[in-house]
Parts: sequence; C-alpha cells; structure tokens
Amino acid sequence: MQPLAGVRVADFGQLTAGANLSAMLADLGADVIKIESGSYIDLFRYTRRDCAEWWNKSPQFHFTNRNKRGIAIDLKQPAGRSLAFELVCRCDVLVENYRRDVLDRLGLGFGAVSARNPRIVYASVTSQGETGPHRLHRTYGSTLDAMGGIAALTGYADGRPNITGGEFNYPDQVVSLLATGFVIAALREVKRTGKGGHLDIAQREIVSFLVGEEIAAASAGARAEASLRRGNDDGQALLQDCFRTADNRWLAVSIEDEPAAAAARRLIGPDGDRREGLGKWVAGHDMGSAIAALRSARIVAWVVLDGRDLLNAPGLVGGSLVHGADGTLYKGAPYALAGAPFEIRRPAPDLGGDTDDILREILGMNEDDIARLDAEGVTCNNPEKAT
Amino acid sequence: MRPLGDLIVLELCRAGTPRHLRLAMAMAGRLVADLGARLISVVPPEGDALTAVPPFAGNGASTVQLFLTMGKEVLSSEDDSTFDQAVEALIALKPAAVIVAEGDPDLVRFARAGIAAITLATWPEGSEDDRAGAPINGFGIMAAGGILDIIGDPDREPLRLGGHQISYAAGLSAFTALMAAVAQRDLDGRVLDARISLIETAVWMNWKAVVGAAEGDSYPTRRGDKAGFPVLRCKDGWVALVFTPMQFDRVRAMFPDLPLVDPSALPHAQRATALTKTVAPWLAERTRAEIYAEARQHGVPLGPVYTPAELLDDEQYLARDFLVGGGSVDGMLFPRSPMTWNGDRLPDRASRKVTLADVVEPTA
Repeated sequence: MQPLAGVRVADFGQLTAGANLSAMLADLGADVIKIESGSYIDLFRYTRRDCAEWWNKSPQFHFTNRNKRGIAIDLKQPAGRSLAFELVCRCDVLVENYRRDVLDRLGLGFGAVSARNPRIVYASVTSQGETGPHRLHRTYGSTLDAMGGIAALTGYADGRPNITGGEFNYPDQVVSLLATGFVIAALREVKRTGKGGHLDIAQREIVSFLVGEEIAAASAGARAEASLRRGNDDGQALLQDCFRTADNRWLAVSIEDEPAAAAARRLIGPDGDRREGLGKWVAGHDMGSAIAALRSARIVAWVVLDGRDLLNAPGLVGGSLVHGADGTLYKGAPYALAGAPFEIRRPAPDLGGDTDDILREILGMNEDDIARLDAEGVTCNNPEKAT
Repeated sequence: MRPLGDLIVLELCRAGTPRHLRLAMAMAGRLVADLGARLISVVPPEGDALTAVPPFAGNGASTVQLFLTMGKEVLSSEDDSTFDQAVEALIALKPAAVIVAEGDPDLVRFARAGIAAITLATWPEGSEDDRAGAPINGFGIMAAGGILDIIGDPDREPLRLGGHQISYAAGLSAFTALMAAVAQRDLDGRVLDARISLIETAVWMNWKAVVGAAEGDSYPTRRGDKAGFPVLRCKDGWVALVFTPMQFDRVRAMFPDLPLVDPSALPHAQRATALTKTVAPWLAERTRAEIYAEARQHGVPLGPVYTPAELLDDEQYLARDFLVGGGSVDGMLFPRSPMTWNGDRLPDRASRKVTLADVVEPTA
C-alpha cells in the first residue's frame, strides 16, 4: 500500500532534517523530486571525496534520499530559478530547510509559490520558526539541543550539560518522525478546505516539546534547577546506571522496584541494590555471566551496544536498516506498515540523475529545450564543472 | 487548522502495559488530539500508569500525565467489565484508528471492525532474538539501540538522554504511522495497521553509528567534548560552541583578539581541545546573553544552554505563543504542538473526563 500515491513533492531538503522528511514521504508512495545543482549539492554528498563522481557515492546521502528522483537546476541562474518555480507550481508539497529568507530571495518563497499554486503545502523545517526575533539565528542540531532544554537535562550529576553532537544529532532525527505526519495532516487540510498553506515546523520547539513535562514542572515550581542533571537516574528506578564488566563492556542495569532490589540483595549480598555493591559485583563478572544472573533475578540488564554491534544484531535492528537489491545498506522505516513491507523502490538519485525525464514528463519540454538548458549550464550535474 | 476534526481515535490503556510503551502511546495520542481528532483515552480500573511518572506538581499531579493528556477525552472504567463495555461501544462509533500496546486482546476485534491498529511494541516484529524475553525498560532500550554508547565522556559511563526520549520518539513515529493509515483510508478505504518498535526506533535514529561501522573502524561512539562541539562554562551558565570548519572566518570575527588556530589545520580529535583552551577565559567573563548576541551578529551557530525554567520566559517562545496554560495548577504552562499553519497555532483543547454516556451520546 502506498498511502501517498499521487502526491508530488518538490524536495529542497538538506542533510537529515529536511531530506529525511521527504524520504519518508517517498517511502509512503509520494513522487519526491530532489532539487539540487552542480553548484549547490546536498551537504551529505561531501562525506566521501576519495573517488570519481564522489558526489554520487556518499553512504550518508544514500541513507537519507532513497526512493526519490533527482533533478539538477542551478538556482543561481535566472533561468534555473524560473525552471524551479514552474516545477514547484506543479507539486502538491514543497519541503525545505534552508535558513529563513533564502528561498524568498530566489523567488521561491511561500508568497510567490502560493500565488501561482494556492493548494501547495509549503513545509518549512525551520530552526526556531518562520517568525520571532530569533528566526534568523543560524543553528545546527546541537545548537537546538542546547537551546531547546534537553542538554540541560542530560549529563553526569553536577557535570556539564551534554549535547548529542553531530554524530547522533537527536534534534535532526526526531524532526522527520514528526514532520512527516504534519505534512500528511496538512494535505488532508488542503483537501478539506481547498486551500494550501505554510507549514512551519520549528526544530527548537520540537526539542522543547519532547521535554514538555519538565517545562510544565518548572512552571509549577516543581523542579529544582540544581537537580536537572542526574546521570542515568530517571527519578523512577531505585537504582539505574551503567557498570563496567570484567571483560570491559558497559552494562546498563536498572533496579526498578523493591522486588527487584530484594532480588539483587539475594543475588549479590546486602549491598546488591546499592551503586557500590552492584558496581563491584558487575566488575567481577564478565558480560555474559552478569547478564544471565541479573536477568534470572528479573533485573533489567543490557549491554551497551555500539554501531558495530548493531550491524551484527538483526534481531535488534529489525526493519530499521534494510539492504537494497544491490546489497547497499539503507535506513529503513521507523514503523512496519501492514501490507506494505518497506522496500527500496529506487536507490538515492545521482545528482540530477532524472533531470531529462522530469523536464519532459512534468514540464512538457522537448529535446531541444533540454539540450539548451544543458548547454547553458542550467541543469549542470557535475560539481567540478559548475560555475 | 483542524484536519482530523471528522475522526475518532481511541487510545487504550491496559493495566500492566510497560511504562515505556504507555508513554509512547500517549505521545502519539496527544498529537492526534492536537490536530482535531476526537481522541478518547480509555483508562482501566487500575488507573493510568502515567499518573505515577514524575515530575509531580505541588498537588501531586504528574506533569507527564497532564502534558500528554491535553486535548483528550478520558474515559475511566470502574472495573474490567465496564472497560470491555466501553471498548464495545466505542467500536460501534467507527473510529479511524486505535492506539494500543503489543498483545492487546482486542486486536482481532479491531481488524474485524476495519479499524487501523497502531501498535507500540518493544521489539521488532517477528524478532527471534533470544534476548526478547528479558526484562527491559526505556534505559535498557537505549542500551540495546546504541543510544547510550553515543552520549557522555569516553572515559566515563555511558549516559541516558534526559526525559523519556525513546518513548517519545516512538510516539512521534506512531503518530506519523497513524497519519499514513488515515491517508490510506482516505485514498481507497483500505485499513493500514502499523507496528512501532522502540528498539527499532532507537536504531533508526542512531543510523550514523551503523553506517559508520559499515564503512570502517572509525564509527561514531562516545567522545564527549572531543566529538567536535564543546559545551563550555560562561559567566551565568553554559554554551555549546557549535560551528563547522567552513565557518571559521565567522568564529574568528567573533573572537577578534584571540589567537585561534584554524581547526581544518588540526587533526579532528584536537580541534575542540585547542579551541576550548583559547576561548574558555573569554567565555567565562561573559553571560549567555552577551555571547549569544555576538554569535548572532557574526552568524556563528552557537547555542546557549537553557533550562526548562528559562524557556518559560524565552523571547522567541513568547513571540511565537509556543506555551499555553492548562493543567491542574494555576500558572502551569505546557508546550503547544511544535508547528504553525499560516502562522496560526493549532486550536487549544483541554482534557476532560467523560462517561460512556457522554461519548456514545454527546450532548454538544
């Protein structure tokens, strides 16, 4: 099943936050057209520079752009901007996560597009929102970890706040999980009212939304600022932390309630439900024996896995990672939809790999038009030759 | 904007549902309610497990429960038979979808009635992993999904993300899956069930570690401040010093009098340390507001660390009307759904307790 069959998306999404939102729309059956150019490529294409046509070889780019088509249009040229505008006016959805005002300056802002295409869902994944005094502040996901409230809640007790950094980048991961649903809701609103609109999805607000109970607690004066960071203590389990095993693995242990604490005392001794006693006991056991003993006492005990461990754990990975027909590894879907097993219908597009087809099929261009655009560099698909 | 105003969606809380699943269900339901659906949360006689989740307001109410119940109709059950009667009556209302935890005993009934089931689960579907029967919670899921490995200092224990992030992220995923089910229903009337596993959600979010491991030995793991963006002390708190080497000219303009070394001239592991040493004294003499003003002026994507309490007075949030009053304590504020449509927030809807009679024969 493809619930978004018949929906066409103009994709100006970059990196994870924007590009993965449109990838999820593509997974659900939308025809997603990624718009780049030789002079401006998705930054994920830069992650591998050690081979010919490096811009088409990035694993990170492949992970976040499967199931899309690609067109190269140079937005720095007036003819390119005009071409992009015509394409956007034939789409149901536009996805972008540029800095505010960039698409306005290119003549591709919401006002211009909606004047010609009043049913468009213009989805902007913004940093702090389309409006407000801080709308133009440049940010990355880590900036939003800090400004959204989650960094203040993450850290060792009495230690510094922790951001998730570029190697995880939590704010960029969660935005597409949520924004995809918002775009589908907006499409339904268009059907209901006949009118499109500007969907402004502020990433910083998403981060704060995900600590909503802490904001509420603060407003009620129920949370002391001094107790914000408590390591792995979540305020519910009686004892919860990571302990190093004899074979140098980290074991995440959670003693959730009094029966589990009693079981820990029976297993380990009188101080088995205390940090020092449990830590000493774990340090004297290898990972396998510690896990087996703790789990037999119905205590939560899990080894902390890393990226390599996950590669070798299909029972954990499930459908979150999939292999394409050529064996390439892709990010899968964050959900399993009955009747519609996740499939890589097409790999991530080469830069401008579908340009000619899209110009013919959607904009009705003939071969002469297409050749002229190519000769003028408007549809250049080579970053090393772009002006 | 009220795109789901014609839909009824059920959220079935069962006694014994693991807390990490219940939190995910409630997050998905909150978002659906915000978009205008009539979200009916059916609570078992034992009560909703959310009420026991901290933090608590002064009157003992869980702010988690208050936050995640906004906009919902809450139907409490006196005993198991009234719970079953409620489910039976609600099925007759032809809801578009039902949000449940894995193993829900009524899944077959929902399928027969043509109701899309959005099921929250711990493990991937059909997983034959021999660990699947072991006790687990949100912390264990963060360990198994590789999230703990990413956060914290390399020479110290791995760290959890603050709050209930794995459950909430799965809740966002369940929300989008539910919207896909609604789209399928609109398209051709077919029922699209969905299953969302928290462990898969964790791995899905942690994809950079996996793709890095697939590429070679240097894959993302816990590197603390050496990962690239140090969090540094300033006069009144902390700031995250975020920028890429391509933005070094802007950073140099922000710190014109400091002897900064171009990070692209240093090995990756040394960049943050070198920078920290140079800028730490400058930061220590300035407040977050002063530093942020400089960063904005020079286009450096630095971020002051704000606490939840500080967000209550945040200039940007006030300008965008992001927080709204509600709950059972005067003055309590909650985040609205993090989006606007043509500049407008989604209409606010308070939570309300209802009886089965209210639900089946609404008076308003």
